[in-house]
Amino acid sequence: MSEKNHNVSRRQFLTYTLMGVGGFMGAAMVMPMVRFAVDPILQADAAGDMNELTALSDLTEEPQAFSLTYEVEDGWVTQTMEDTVWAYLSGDEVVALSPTCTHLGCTVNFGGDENNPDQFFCPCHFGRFEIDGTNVPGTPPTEPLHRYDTEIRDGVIYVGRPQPQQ
Amino acid sequence: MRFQTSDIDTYQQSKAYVDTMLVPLLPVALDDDLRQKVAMGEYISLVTMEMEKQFRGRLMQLPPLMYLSSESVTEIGERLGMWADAFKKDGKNHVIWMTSDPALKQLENQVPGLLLWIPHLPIEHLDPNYRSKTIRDQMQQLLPDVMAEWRKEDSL
Repeated sequence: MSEKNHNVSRRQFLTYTLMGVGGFMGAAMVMPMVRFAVDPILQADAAGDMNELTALSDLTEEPQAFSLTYEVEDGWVTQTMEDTVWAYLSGDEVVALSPTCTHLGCTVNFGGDENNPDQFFCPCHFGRFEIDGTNVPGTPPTEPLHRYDTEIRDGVIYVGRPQPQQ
Repeated sequence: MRFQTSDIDTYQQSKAYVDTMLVPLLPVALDDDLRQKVAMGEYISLVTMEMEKQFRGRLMQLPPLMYLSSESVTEIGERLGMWADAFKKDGKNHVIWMTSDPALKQLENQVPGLLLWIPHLPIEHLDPNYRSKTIRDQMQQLLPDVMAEWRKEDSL
């Protein structure tokens, strides 16, 4: 039997086999490295979404302050942060607002001003916001309070990150 | 606002709204009482941070003003007076001094601005969750004093 009777020569067969096995070995070495390198990016996608706020039954029509703890991952470092969220029921809808004044970042309180008990009040420059977060014209803030995306699972409220309204 | 580059741009754009300086006062002495001094300084720094968070749009938190425990209270009072004069020249209306040092309590009615004397709580022994709650509760108690200070037209 001479070489030319075969479709694949011995030399070609050896070359293909070595390339195949070598490729697998190379991939086995490189893949974990790539995975480690991109790991923080993948993690941030997975964990940076919704955090538990409180039970749905805790909410009333009157806004209440709830504390929200969540973890921020910055590369390899994980930090626990704590924020306040003002949440209430508007009909069946859950409204969760950030207490950060949109003027210069002070912390607002609901009913903090005796004359306007149904509004959010910023003690720094007397900015006011309606219950739904809309800024009252004529006061320093120029945009509504930021609002959290909410999601209800098994009677528990989960919130995302505060987003500008409008 | 804090005394850091990331806040300074906001400050310069809205200078007219920031009329208050927030200054923590830290006693320093490397004596036998060192531990107590450090604990007071730590506590005041935490309460000051919380205050800044609450009122960040109206006040500028400065780095702590240190003094030697061996200095006389009169001397410290005079120095605070000098700082207050300088702030007034720059158009500020209010200064809030933060201290845990019992020796400075007598300055409460003497120095310009509002001197908040806050007794130090040994929070370093507390559970971290409970610690932040304690600081926040402490802060809530101080709110009325700050609001009263802001109602004064020209405190300095």
